[in-house]
Amino acid sequence: MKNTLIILSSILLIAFVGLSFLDNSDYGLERQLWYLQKEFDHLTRDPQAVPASAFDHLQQKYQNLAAQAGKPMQAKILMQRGQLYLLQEDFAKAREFFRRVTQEYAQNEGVQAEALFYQGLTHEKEGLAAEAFNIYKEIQERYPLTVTGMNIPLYIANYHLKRKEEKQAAAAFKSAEAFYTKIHGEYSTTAAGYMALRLLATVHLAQADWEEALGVLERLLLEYPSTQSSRDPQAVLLIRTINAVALNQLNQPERARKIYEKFIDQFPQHPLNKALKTLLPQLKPADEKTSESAE
Amino acid sequence: MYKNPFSLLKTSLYALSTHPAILFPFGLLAFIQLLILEILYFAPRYPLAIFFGPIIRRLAGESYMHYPQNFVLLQKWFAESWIQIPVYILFYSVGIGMAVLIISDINSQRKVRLPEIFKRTFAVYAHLMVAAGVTVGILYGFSVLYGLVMQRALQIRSISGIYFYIKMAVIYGAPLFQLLFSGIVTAALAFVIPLIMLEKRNVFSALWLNFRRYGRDLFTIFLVVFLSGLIYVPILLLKYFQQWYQAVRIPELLGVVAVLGVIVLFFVDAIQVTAITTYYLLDQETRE
Repeated sequence: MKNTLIILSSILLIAFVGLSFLDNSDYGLERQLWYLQKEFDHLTRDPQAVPASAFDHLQQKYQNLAAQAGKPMQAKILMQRGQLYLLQEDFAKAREFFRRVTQEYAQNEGVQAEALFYQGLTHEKEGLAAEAFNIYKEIQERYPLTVTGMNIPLYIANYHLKRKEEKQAAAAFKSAEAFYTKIHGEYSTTAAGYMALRLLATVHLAQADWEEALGVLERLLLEYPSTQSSRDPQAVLLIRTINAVALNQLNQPERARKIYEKFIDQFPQHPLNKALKTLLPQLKPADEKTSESAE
Repeated sequence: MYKNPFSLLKTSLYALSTHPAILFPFGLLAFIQLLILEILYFAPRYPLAIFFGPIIRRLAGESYMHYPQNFVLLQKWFAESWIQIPVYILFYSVGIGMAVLIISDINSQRKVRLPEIFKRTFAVYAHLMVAAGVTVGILYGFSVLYGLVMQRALQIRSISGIYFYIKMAVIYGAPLFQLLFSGIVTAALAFVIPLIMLEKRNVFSALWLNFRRYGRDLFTIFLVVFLSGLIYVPILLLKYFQQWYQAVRIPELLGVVAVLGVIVLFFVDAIQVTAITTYYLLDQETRE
């Protein structure tokens, strides 16, 4: 028996060592990069209080890691190094790294768009808004279907909103609305179409345009049933947002109820129905609820 | 004296320390669990990724192929019922059956012969699997029921008063309720496997006799199971409140907790099965 247990333990150990040895992926480097990212996050808490030597030390670690990393990971490292310089407010150096990404990874649209965005951000932080906006527009035109490209119109609108530039913000929201409507129209059956509709809902929510927002949220639920699952945080967020708009903003819980009933009716086998059915009894018209509680 | 849960636990601990052979089947079960953990750990990496990569990408997503999400996947999938239920029915049934025979042989001062133990266990494998299936089925029923209670509790909006405390108890007491339910089910079906192994009963007759003969001893056995199960509480808490230690940002801890869980369960199972079988054997002696 003792021998059997020794053999079994040896099997586990040999398998562990053997599989570690055979593994030729970037797992170890991914792990190192993740821990460097944590160090980076730590520095972002109060960059002003961080001595320059700490930044240099982290740059050195990134450089050492880059020496061992393959091409896909190099892009991530270059981006993080650029972001580290951005944090230090060494904008020229930061741009240098973001430019390297755009030059070396020209074929990857997502990476291109992200690197360009950060280039724009360096100008924005320098107070050169016009240069920044030119780059943002370029991203929106050249890479409209990437995550970064898709978020640009909303980013610009929020930029003006934060600075209380109401006219520019309103114009930016209007342009964002048109952009997302167009993208959704052209790519409605793809992930980009879904994302555009989600961002269109955000545009209406940001402007407190509750009626329009609820309409778009309803379309999100009904037009993309396959993306909604009860375990998906996005689906949970969508339901919560529908509830929040219908109950708290419009004070018409029955509107949310009708949306869910329509969904259950159209997709009777959908896994989300179970959760939606538990919500239905709570979504009665406000006057009905008042009379019930009086009883 | 054997009806005192504390004496029974003391006796089983003594038996385990003086006859480590009893631990053998539990060692086999721990090996199987650790092997599954090892496979899950290496699944997103070459060469296992050739087979598991498409499955992980399809069921969980690309991010779970990489650090640190691979540890989230490891912890999640290891606890999933589609892994643990087959393991329990196929392997735990055999392991517990073997342990019962080993304890019985030691009690009768017979030499423990593993090939013979294997042979005797596999002769009643079908009955053992059905018995394990019944246990799993009842536990699954409890967990579904608890899920419904949890859903209802989540709908409670009170932020003070009795309903608020009920909600908190249901949500945060989940690990303890889980332990309680599994204790009740284990205690209620405690003698099914000893009856199959030692009296050569078929599973249905064993189930019937288990309730008829030992129904009155349910509370004692429950206490034995519950008290020994308390060793597992820290692991349950670590699993349930994983955001606490995820906050320290060491993803490897998810893997460490899973391994610790296997090791602790190895001892808990050994103590429980030894105590229950000892109870059964002493009860038989008293009857005779």
